[in-house]
Amino acid sequence: MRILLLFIAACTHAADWPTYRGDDARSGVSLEQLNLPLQQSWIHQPLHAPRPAWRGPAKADLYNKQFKLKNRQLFDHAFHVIADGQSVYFGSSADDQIHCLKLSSGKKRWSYFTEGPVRFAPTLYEGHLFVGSDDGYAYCLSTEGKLVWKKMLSPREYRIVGNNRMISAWPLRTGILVKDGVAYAGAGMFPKEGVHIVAFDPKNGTDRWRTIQTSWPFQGYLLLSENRVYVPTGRSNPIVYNRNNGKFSRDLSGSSDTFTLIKWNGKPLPNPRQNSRVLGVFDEGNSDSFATFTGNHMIVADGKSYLHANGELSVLDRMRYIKLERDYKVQSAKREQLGKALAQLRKQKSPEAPKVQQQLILSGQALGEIQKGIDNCVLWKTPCNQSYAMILSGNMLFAGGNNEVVAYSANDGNKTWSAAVNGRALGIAVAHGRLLVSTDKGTIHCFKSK
Amino acid sequence: MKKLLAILPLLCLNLSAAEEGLLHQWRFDQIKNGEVPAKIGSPAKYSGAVQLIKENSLSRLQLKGTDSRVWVADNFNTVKVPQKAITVEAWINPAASMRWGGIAGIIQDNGSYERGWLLGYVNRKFSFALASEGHQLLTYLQGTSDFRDNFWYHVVGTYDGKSLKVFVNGKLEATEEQHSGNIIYPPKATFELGSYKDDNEFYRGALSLHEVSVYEKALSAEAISKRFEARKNEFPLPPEPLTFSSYPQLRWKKRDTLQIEWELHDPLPVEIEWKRTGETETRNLKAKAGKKGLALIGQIQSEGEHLYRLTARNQAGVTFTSKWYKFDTSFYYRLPPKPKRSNPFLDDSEMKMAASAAKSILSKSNINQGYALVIGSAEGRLAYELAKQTELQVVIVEPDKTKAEAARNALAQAGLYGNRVSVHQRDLNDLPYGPYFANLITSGSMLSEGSLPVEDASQLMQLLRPAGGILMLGHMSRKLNDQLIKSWLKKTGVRCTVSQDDKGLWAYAKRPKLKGAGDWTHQYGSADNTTNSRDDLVRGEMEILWWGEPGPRPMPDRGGRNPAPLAANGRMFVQGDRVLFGLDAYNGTVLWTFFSPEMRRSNMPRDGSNMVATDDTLFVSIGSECIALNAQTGKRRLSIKTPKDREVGWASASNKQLLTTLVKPGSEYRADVGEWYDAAKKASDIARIVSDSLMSHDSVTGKQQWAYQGGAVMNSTITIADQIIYFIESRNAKLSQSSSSRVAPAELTSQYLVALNSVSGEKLWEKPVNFSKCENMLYLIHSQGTLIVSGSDQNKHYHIYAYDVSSPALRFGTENPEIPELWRESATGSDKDRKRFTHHGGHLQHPLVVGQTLYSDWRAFDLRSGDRKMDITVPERRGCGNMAASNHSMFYRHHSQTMWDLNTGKTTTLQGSRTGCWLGMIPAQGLMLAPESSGGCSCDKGDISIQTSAAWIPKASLFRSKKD
Repeated sequence: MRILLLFIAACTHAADWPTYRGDDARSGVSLEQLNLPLQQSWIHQPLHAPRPAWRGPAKADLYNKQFKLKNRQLFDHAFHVIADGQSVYFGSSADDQIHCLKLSSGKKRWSYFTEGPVRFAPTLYEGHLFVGSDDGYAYCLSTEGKLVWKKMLSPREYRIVGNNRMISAWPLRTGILVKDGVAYAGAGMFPKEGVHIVAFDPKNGTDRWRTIQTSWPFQGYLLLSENRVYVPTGRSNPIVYNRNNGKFSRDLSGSSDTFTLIKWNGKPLPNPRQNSRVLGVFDEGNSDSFATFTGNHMIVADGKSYLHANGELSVLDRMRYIKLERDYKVQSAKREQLGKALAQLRKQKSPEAPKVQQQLILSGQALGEIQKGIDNCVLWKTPCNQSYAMILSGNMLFAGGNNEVVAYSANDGNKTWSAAVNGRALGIAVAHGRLLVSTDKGTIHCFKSK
Repeated sequence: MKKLLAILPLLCLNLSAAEEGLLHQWRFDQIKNGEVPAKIGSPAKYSGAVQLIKENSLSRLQLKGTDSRVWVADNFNTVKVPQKAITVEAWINPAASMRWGGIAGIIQDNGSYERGWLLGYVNRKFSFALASEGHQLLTYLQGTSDFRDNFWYHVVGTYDGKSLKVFVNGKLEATEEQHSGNIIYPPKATFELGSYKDDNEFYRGALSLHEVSVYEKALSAEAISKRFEARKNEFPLPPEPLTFSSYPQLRWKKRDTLQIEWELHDPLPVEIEWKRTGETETRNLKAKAGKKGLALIGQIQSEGEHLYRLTARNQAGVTFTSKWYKFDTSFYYRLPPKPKRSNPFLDDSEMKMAASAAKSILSKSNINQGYALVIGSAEGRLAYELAKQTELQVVIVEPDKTKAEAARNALAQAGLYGNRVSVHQRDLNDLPYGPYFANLITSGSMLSEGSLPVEDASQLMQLLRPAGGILMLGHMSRKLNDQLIKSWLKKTGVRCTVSQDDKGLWAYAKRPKLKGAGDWTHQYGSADNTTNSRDDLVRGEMEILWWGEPGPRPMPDRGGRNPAPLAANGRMFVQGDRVLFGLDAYNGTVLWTFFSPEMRRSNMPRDGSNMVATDDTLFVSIGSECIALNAQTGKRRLSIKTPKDREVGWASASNKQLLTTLVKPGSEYRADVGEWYDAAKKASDIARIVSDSLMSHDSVTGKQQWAYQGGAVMNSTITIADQIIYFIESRNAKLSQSSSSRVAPAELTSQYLVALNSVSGEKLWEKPVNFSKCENMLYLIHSQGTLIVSGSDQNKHYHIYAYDVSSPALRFGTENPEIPELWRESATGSDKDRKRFTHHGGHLQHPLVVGQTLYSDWRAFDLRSGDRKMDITVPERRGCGNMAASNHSMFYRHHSQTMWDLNTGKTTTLQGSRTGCWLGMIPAQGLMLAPESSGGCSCDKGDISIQTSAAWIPKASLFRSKKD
């Protein structure tokens, strides 16, 4: 009982981390507040490091003078974990298994074999694990590692060599998301063979709808909003489907480094001045805002957006920024009108001209004030060399770097805590008072409050 | 006193002005208030990130290249400039290479309007460009040596009304004779120092200037040499370059160790330094003195680019240093290591039998890489032994759930499950695999239980890799007899043997090459340049067969018109950026990786490829040698060296003969800064690589057989068919004096079409020709007794010439032979057509021949009559890539990879991947092979969403499962 009380005291809002980046929107946000400093509770070193499907992008686009091309296919460069109160779950691209460890000790609970690399973290939904494999199957397992059902998402059982493994010609490479009693997953690589997005019953795998397209591969963690399914397409931009019927909505053309689903249900737009721009805003029904930005990570929470870009972590007061930007537009329009009016009055040699001129001066001053306010919307910024992963847990930002994980206070950007890890920290999760860090060496570190 | 000080500069100026013809001279030792005073002539201005630095009594003005600028006048007409002759001399220290760099110049180079002059650099070669009355185009004459960053160079360009010359550190590096008359200037241009600037381009140089001088006369070579010698000790000049008779070659020994070997001209001790790119800490090792060297670079970090260089010192104490070369440890494609775990199986008779069988199988099959298929698990014992003893990935198919689970658990315990062995629980008579993937097929259940692995043996044969895949089934329990096994195997149609020893029966079959499959052994398919593999299998609808490495990272940027991949005898060879891969064409296994820092070739329309394949050998030209690599292992088995001061140009090979040509060092294109070679009028894009010798060697022993020396043989025209070598050469006598084998088309005068006997080297005949209209490129192909010459002019109009060489008399030579011209075509097609095909590089298409049809640009012609085949509509395509044909289909880049079925006229998009801007898809080995070549394309559109190497198989070749 004392242990339990201590545990409760050490964190608030203890919660599961049921899917990659915590939720359907892959927000990377947890309400859980970890009390720092943390110390390493256990470390799990699998026999094999991840065996990613894809290596890096080309070294340069010399013609366009682009020398740091972004790798958009990093989804399986670490064993990303999910966790509930008892266990940590992850899949392996090296040994084709789904593994379960005890959250408290890191000791193995069970493993389940699939017939191909498991490149994506499972999703935990109503006491079941949903996981896809390069063998083309979606698996539903109990949290004790027993098969409940499995479903072939591909149109037929056909295995060929893909990314140097014998896998399905339609590998399941989107992970599986489950929401409101419906599971979603995509399968397929080469558009000519047909690439499938499927909504199915999480209880038995029965198709709810299935859409086949011939334009993009499906690769990368799915995202869901209230009404839409966002499907990453490897090195291209994501495409969007209606969640209810699988109808193709649009492709998010236009390029940038990274994308994020910011908010849905008609909530405010993202902030274009923080290295980002709106890529798609959907007006039919509830709105989604989906943005691309130049940088590594963006987390949007509580009216603020936290951006990691160019070796810097910055925070923008989005709500204030959006209001001021609106004010700026109104004032700009007013100033333009005054300018035109003044020109007209001067032409007519009207005695009203000085009065309008004064208004114009005041308008310019107002615009300057608004601009100053906009500039002040960046609440803080701080150098941050940990570019591989970022989550927000309570009022703490955890950033994954090379051989380290670092905590920054979300209030002021102060570096609050750090710990060494084995390799590049590509995955961070928080669950039930624990910080779980996954690296490219396959290592999983568990930290908890001292 | 003040008066005296005021007079002093004037005195200096007058003293300097005593040098005849010197118009301007700036010594960058003082700057003030935005001005650089001139020793002679007009002062210069500066702005931006400019810094005057004085070190060890040497002063320099450093331009950062960001916003820095130094210029003499916004309008050059306000200052005196040379008119009839010119010398531009500079002491400079470049900090970085550029596609177009300027040291001093007055130019306008805007489309076809080219005026003025520029001493500068193109990539790493110093250059001098000038437009004259006699040749109103800026020819960027380039020197031969590459500069190194942060060292001083004395660079001089001269023009005397006839010859353009480039001198580097006192030595003449290049001469050009195209120009005559006065220099022609634009009406207006800036007089710029340290940058390249005209009305629409401004490339700011990152460099330091010590002195720049402009004369209105051409200094002699002797005077330039003296000027260099007089001052060279004031400057830290680059170290003496370490020259190789065999450039460094690197191969993986293990994950953290590379073996490096090299050969020098003299026996010298060598030190190797290496470091991770971007880091300063270096490691080093010393190798023994000797011409040939070999060392192991160990404990290198994985997943990253590294720099290395070799340094040698002779007995006189002179140090020789190579450039900083690169290797990248992420280009490691072997399987992850096997963990050291104990055998999970009991050491019982079953295990002993499996170990013995594995030993027999591996010994007889000699297969160590790729995929093995084991039918029936034997609880994983046989697969365990195969995985333990080889680099094979083993796939077990086991119908029984309990046995499958037992095998998985045991193999996971051994640390082999996944990376090395997979267990698929499946009905053995309904195997779900695509064809051709298995290098080895065997059976655990037949071995231990004595049951035939599957009902239909032909199902297994379909999965076996053609051109050498081995089926080897052991049977120890004597339940089966040889007649039964023979009968079972008969249906496969493949010759099988069944043998018996004291331990049991062994059935053995080796799958031969696919009947009807073609090879792609040369840049354009075969030595006849028809761009056709003559593969009969690649036709109809296609389906993905495999995808994998190499991906985009090791590949050069997609635009450089890089050498085509090759395929023969079940293997594919893919050249990246100074890295070469041998792959299994049927399952994508990377068999070997080979690095060499000077192995790079581009601009194929104006040169020949640096690699050529036979069934068992890949020949690669690197610098002054052509090396023969074992096609399966990548190990070098032979090296053929050129004479001094020559490098290998074009090459062709058969099982008995290796033909190579010789070019002057440093002539080849390399596309290192994003060149696309598209511009129809840029001398720097369209200059051709010519060879001054053609050599024949025995391809097995390396013994020289004969040599031909005539004119300047254009590498892009060398064509071989029926033991006759055809080519076009220029007999312009001036070319032999040139320091480079890269020659402007206008200089390729006095052209001859020549035929040699390929066995003896004897000239069979020659014919004077004039293909000067083919300004952009010149191709020669042979098919069925017809020679086709093709090229396009500066207006991007194609010109095609066809000759009849079918007469038997021509095979034996005749003094004044009749070479009938069959037809000639200079039509250009409709504007609509041209718009559809002139996407950048659409004017560079290499022709193809399929059957009796010649495909050139967007038109098809009867090969013999030249009649346009109006019933054939060549589909629209992006112009930058070249089409590649089988006997029934063509492949090309439109947006994504695309196939045109010649039998039905249907086009099919292989959506999601594109190729590079030349020939990246090859229909060969019964497949369409498309190694990754789109690298560098940063576009994120859906038609380029997958960057991978892949193979596609005709659906007609598939063995369908019962359930399909």
